Amino acid sequence: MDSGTALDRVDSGVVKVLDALGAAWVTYQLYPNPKDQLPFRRAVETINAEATGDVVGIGPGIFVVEGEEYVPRRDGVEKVARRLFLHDVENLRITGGSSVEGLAGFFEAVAEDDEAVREAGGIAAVLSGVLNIGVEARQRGLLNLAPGEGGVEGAVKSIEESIDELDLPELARFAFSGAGAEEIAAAAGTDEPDVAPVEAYIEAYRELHGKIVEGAEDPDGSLLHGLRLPTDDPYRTVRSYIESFFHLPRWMQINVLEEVLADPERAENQMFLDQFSGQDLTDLLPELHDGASDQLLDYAVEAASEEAGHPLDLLAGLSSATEVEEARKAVADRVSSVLADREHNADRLAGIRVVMEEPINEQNMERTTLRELLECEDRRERFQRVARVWTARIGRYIKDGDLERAAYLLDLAGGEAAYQGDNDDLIRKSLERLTTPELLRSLALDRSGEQGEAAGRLLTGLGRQVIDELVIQLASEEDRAMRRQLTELLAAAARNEPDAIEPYLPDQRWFVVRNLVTALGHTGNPDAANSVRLVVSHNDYRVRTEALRSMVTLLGDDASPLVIRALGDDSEHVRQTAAALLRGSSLGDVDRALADEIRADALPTDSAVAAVKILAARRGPHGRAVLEVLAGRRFAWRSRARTLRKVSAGVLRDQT
Amino acid sequence: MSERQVAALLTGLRKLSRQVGLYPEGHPLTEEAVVVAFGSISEFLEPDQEAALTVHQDAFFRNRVVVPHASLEFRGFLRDMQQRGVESITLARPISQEDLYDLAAFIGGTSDDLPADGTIRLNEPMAIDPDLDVTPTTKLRASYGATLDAMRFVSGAMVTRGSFELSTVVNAVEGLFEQSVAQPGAALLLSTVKSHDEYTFFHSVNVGILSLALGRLVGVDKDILVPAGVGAVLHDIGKVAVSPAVLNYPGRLDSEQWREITIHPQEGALSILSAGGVGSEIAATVALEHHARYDGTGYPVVTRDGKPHIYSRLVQVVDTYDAITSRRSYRRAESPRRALQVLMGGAGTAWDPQLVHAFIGMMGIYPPGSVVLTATGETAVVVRPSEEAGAPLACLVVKGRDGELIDDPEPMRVELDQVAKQVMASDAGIDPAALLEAVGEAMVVEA
Repeated sequence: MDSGTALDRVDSGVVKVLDALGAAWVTYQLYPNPKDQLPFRRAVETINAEATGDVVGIGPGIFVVEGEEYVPRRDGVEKVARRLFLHDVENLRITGGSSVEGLAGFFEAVAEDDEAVREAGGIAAVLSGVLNIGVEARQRGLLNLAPGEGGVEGAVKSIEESIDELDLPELARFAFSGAGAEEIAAAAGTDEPDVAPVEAYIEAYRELHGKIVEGAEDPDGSLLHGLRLPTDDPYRTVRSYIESFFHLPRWMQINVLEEVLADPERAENQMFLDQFSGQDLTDLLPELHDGASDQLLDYAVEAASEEAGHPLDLLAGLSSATEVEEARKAVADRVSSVLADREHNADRLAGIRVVMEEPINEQNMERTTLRELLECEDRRERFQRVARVWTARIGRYIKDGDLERAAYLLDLAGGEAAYQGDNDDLIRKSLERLTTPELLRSLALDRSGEQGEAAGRLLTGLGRQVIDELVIQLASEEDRAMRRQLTELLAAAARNEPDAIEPYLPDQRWFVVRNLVTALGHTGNPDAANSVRLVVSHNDYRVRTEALRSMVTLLGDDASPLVIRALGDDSEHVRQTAAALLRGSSLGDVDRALADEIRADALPTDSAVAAVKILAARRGPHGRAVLEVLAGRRFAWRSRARTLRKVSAGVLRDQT
Repeated sequence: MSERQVAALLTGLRKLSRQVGLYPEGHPLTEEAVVVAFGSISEFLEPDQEAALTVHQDAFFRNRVVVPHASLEFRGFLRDMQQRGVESITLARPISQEDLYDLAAFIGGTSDDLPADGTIRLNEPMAIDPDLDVTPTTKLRASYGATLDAMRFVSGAMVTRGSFELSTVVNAVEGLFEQSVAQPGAALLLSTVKSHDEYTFFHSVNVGILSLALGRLVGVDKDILVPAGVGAVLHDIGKVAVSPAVLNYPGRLDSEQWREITIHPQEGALSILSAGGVGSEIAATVALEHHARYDGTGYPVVTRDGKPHIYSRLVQVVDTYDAITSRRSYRRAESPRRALQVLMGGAGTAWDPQLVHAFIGMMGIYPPGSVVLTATGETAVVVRPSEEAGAPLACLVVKGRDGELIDDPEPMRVELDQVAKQVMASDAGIDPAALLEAVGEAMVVEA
């Protein structure tokens, strides 16, 4: 907590002189004609008014008043102290009898390079020819600072030089120089009500607004050329200036505010008002004249209806100062009643506790948040980022072996998230990031474990994006067990889109095609049969064999004609496979199909014989009837017919 | 001794140590920094011939007395000192310029030469005696500072590499939780600390403290509160993605600027999910939903059960309170009581009414940090929430009837009907959080 010692002295004559000197020094630095400027003339008046012969010690950036350090509250004062310290000034005696010429002469010497002043015999010698300063400077030699050597001085245009290039009123220049709110208020405020300072204050504000706010909006920033405004907060000066309003004398606050409220639609006036808190507005409201009071309330209502809600909806709906107070009391009463209602408070807390203690489902929370992000993000480049974060988390769970969670999160790709359709390509691109060999291998290893179902869901979810990578891996994988796993992954990945495998079927390597056909069969999706059908006549019997199996898996009984025809394949292996399939239970009512094929004479004799034997092996009633017809033919003119009669009779005899 | 004196010293030393790293000795800018540092040392030493600045338990001490605010504000410089092994700096008049230069260069890491003239001495045994005046609130401040550091780190990491470690924040919040449990009243008062330059960081930590406090009032366990606290502390992290020119704009925003502001929840959630780690789901949810209102309005529009998650709703209430009572780029600060009025006005529409009522119940009609003018003319700061409706306010009198600041604030119970007016702390020239140590003493006196 500040002890307030500096504040204790704030009203002392010495402090007034020091503050006035600080303001005058800033003015001297800023203006080509400082003698014509208000702070400068005011400093002369203050020195003369407060001349008590007091001696003020000089420290590095501080003054010493009556043995106590006076820490300047204003930059200008500190700067004077620093300059004087550099010139080895030990103390200043406030003598009075100052003139604007004398004070300007004093500052001219103080502004000189300190080394040059030393070479000229010191500050006392330089000042010896200057009259009517109002202060006497006594020189000392305790601390001599080394002069600068080289450096960048002059390389950057000083802010003072830059400000000089701007055509600004006095107060605005002062604010531009980095003056704080209190300093600005001190320079602007007067105790005696008058129109001029109010107008000057507002004019300076408008200039600042024009140069800084409008300047910042100027594409080439030409208005701010050369000014080193802070890039992170170029509006600091404007804020400080508006803040200075709250340090002005009350009469001036009211007059300035009424002036601003005369045209609250003006951009700069609106910005001025926007800085006020609701508390500020309600404090000032009762003292405004009726017109301004109405304007203020209108402003508050309008401001509260803004989307951004500035400055706050504190005055919304209020139409008079009385209502402001009534509303304040009403809400205050409600606050009090909340506090007083202890019984309900306990119930309320218990109710909240129940909700807060509900178990957190982090998976659900995560998915919901990501879904909301996917839904609300309409900037394409940021949507891409969301999608990347989403898939990165899926990838992390896969690596960590938490396939359930990965699959749960991936479900968002299945249309749950209502992201914009234009971003489908970004979703696909992100999903592709998951199809790294490492991730797929880890999935393959988990496929057979407890999380097999989740792995399957993941692959199904990844779909088309993962097929390329799986096919590549499948083609190069030497380990048989891993190949089997990869085939299963491929089947899972292609479950919803089996045609995604089709482009790879023309591969020259029979084993690749065979594995793809196996995967197609394992998708369990009948649509995959269209792809398998492309290779049922493949030149490699191993592919044809696998194709038969897959077709049976995918189409069931509907595959029977194809399998029966395979009884006539060139490859013994294929024929045996077809026969095995027909004999087995994987096909249901195949007898009729066999009979039809036999009767149609579409099969070569050897195949027809095999079909007869299969029909007999199946021992179905329909098959037996067909066999009896064949065996009982009286006339069998052709060799084929005779062969079939003979075989049929033989199998029937064997059965009995 | 005032905080300002120590702050001036640290400002001077920090500036000089940086300047020395940039420009050679004798350069005009370095010389100017030397002059400033000299001035600050002189101020620091007043009224002694010799005094020590010590670093202990993440806090600065001047002659064994903790300097709480400077410990928070100059934490980076404190770290610099610790990294260089500087535990104390003893300054003795008249300071030699060479010693000052050596000190700055040493702390800045540009030289290993220690001050040799004896006017500045490092790590003197007397100064680093562990028997320092560590107040009960020192650890609380240290936790606050650690959370600030975490936010600075997270923010910096997001700017430089687009991601951060969530565990940094989790650890900080756990510390904050422990200290808030140990000193709940002090924690509420500390949450009134504000910073213009680092508004978002201080605001984030304050929201964290108040959220933890509200959660504790509700009666939930640490396991639940810490993740919620992490969400509270990180709720505004997405502002890193908003341009400073928009964040600092001093007026009403146009639609384009407003749109830029409204992306910060989703940017924050995204960065937290990107960071990953335990608790990231909760923190991301809070960050995404902290501007989604209870009645389904606000931004972004959330579809989760038709209203934001309970943690988000809790943070919304606290966030609103702290934001209203802070000086923003577009508006001056409101009084704490007025902030409660705003919350009450929006209970059931903007905010969860149950949580608003609970929060008001926690803070009382004059929340800690409120500055009131009594009917008898004293200026007092409310330092603890009222335990029941209508109870007198637990205050410290900081200004007497004559308007003079009191060096050692005195405890006082102020009846509600004796409150003449509530004033803004800034207008009264008072920083309520700076009274923290005095509150501890006052409580002892009261007992």
